[in-house]
Amino acid sequence: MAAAASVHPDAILRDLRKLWTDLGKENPETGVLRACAMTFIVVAAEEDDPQAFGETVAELTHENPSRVILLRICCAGNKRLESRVYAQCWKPFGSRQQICSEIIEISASPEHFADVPQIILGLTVPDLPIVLWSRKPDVNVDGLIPMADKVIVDSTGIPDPGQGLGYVKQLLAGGTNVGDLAWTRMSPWRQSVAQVFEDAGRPALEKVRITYYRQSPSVSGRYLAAWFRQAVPGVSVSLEPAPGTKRRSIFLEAAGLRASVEVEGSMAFLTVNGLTRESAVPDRDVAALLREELAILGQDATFRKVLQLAE
Amino acid sequence: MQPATHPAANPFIDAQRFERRAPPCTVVIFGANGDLTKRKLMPALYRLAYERRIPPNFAVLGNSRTQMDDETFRAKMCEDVKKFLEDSPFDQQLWDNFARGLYYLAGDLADHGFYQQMSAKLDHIAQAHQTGGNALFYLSIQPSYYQTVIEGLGSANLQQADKAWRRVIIEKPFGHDRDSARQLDAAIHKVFPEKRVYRIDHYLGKETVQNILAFRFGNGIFEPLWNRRYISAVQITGAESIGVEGRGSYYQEAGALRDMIQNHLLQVMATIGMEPPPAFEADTVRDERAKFLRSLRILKPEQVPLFAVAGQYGQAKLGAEEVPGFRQEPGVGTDSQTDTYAAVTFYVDNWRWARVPFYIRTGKRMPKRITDIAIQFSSAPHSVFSQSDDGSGRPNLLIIRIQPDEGISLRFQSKYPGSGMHLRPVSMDFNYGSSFGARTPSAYETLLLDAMVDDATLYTRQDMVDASWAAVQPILDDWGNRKFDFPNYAAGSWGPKESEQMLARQGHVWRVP
Repeated sequence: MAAAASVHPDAILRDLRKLWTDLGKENPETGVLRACAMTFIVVAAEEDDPQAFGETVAELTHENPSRVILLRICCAGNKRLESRVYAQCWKPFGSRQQICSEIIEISASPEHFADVPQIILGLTVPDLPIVLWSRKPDVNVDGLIPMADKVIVDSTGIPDPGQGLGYVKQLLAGGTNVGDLAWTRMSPWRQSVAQVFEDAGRPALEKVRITYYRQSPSVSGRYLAAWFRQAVPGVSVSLEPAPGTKRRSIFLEAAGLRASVEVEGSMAFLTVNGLTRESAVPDRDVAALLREELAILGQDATFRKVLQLAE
Repeated sequence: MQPATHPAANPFIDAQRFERRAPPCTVVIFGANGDLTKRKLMPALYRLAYERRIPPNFAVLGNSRTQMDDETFRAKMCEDVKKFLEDSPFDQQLWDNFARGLYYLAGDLADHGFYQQMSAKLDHIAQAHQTGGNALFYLSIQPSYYQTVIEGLGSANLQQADKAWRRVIIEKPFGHDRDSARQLDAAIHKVFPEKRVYRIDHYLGKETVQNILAFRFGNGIFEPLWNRRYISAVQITGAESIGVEGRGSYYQEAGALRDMIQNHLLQVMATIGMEPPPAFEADTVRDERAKFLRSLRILKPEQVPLFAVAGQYGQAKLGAEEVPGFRQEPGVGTDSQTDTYAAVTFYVDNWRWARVPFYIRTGKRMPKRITDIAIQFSSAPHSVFSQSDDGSGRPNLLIIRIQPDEGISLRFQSKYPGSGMHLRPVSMDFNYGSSFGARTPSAYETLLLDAMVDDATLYTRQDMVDASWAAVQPILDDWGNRKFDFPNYAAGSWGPKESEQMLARQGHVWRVP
């Protein structure tokens, strides 16, 4: 379902209209359902695996039907700028009708990268949110950020955690509504901690120990420490190395309470005063992380506070 | 000195991201060997565990008359969950972990000694699983035993515990009529205060019924139209394609009016018609529902034949299949006067809805299974198009589909392509499944979790139940004293002709859903 297109918004939109007409003709009995709830701009680096990337986008469009604008950085030195449009369709179980999202793929060599924001500006869906997901922090997306209602990055793409944290802080300081997948990865941990304190009679948290097994605490670990500090001001929080183990742990202490949240491999262990419940850790691939971020298009108040405290 | 405790609000909750999670507790299921437990309750609890919404300190204590030990109960529940779990994979390792918290206690509900045993077992579970003594009692038993169990719980003082909460969930029907409902309430309130009584109406737990509130109160464009000036009628249909499916003897005592309209459909109607609450909180939402239900006009005896129609299906051939009539169903008397179809015109005596008819119908052996609500807007006041088929006389319809194909459609007129001005109705559709591909939780998952976290927003309150009974009681009284010429509609049809006539008298027709 591809169609060639010249790289001008009007031409691309014309090709989109033709795409939908053709899709309707291919399915004369049921037609197809064109679903769109936002514009989702995805920036892919040259080294990203196109197939894996396509699968992630396809998975996301099931729950977040969108006009996807897939910007591929490619072919340095080749002075290339081209586009194509196609549809991503799926059929819900038991349904005869296909539901389709539209994808506009723009391939641009670095020489043309500065031209791209102007093109994309003409391609966004009116009156619906615009979300930008930039896979690689080293790709300059400054021209796209102002048009986005939310920018999703992954600071773990920067090898030095300190620099990674700085990058996200800088985006926030510039007024960007930013989401960081390094923070999103912490949600299951945070939920488990919240569960320990679900009982209103639980004592106030006094001490937290977070272990890590790499050389220095990751951005995610730093976020977690900051989260404890903003939730319980005055709590003692330490980040400690735990060499020789693959188990990541959070130990919680309060009067009459010893609890821990631990993950090793695909298993999680939540222990409250000696009573342990094991559970499988859901496989949170990048699509799952993005799904969580796409569910929050407004300001994430907790993350903003955490980002300010993280160090 | 007492150690500092967290304030009532959990400081670690991130409402933007976290799903609700259950606090430590034991769910006690009376009727654990029954249909509801195996089909709905246990799969819902397992699913909550699967989604890690149940804490390590959680347990279930099942009860019925049947003798079995904990292990047998666990094995039985495992089979049932595997069989009835919907939209979810079964994970044996997760089940094994969950099942360690399942216990069973056989006992006679009328024996007060049994509740002493239950008290001891609950203490044991509270120790072993650190539930803090919190307990949610779920009455999934015949309604005739409700009072017995409530009294039994009271006899062993199980309704309260030191530094722990105790709540009770009661399944419908809440009484057989208004008097019996009031008697039941009085018996319940001797043991549990109203605040700790959760009357479950699973319709309110459906995502699409909750979405009515989001649709009405999360959007600015509909509310100004949501009144007698712009809406000419509302139709609510709750149709089932199946018959009584072996429940003939139960259904013969209930009937369609009691089984569907008095509870489910009146609650749906209240959701459509209630005033905006000041906040989405249990009491404010329920106050508005109750106010609406209290505004329902009570029919005078002589009005009942004009505003309510009873029906009963007769045998028919559906496709190649011979379908028995209600009176041929097992457990049903050959001269049964039970309504398998009921249609009622309700009026709401308040400023918003004055003179707007709310037509509600429900029936068994209808052409298809569907529950939907049609808001019929007033027609355009003047036709500017000359052609006779200009369609401007056709009202705009807003259709809210509760099940299946959950979603919302708006029907309006559009120009048919070509020369001339010919109008045709078109439909603008929102499909829940297409726009949000995520799995929607079952009503029981939602409602069980709500009860555990003490959120009664989607549960019915005593005054709501009482107002619903008040609205249908004159109809029940009239029908109880009449001899109908049943059957009066064929299986597979949309009901008796008297139902069409009821609407025709108001200048309306039933839609074909």
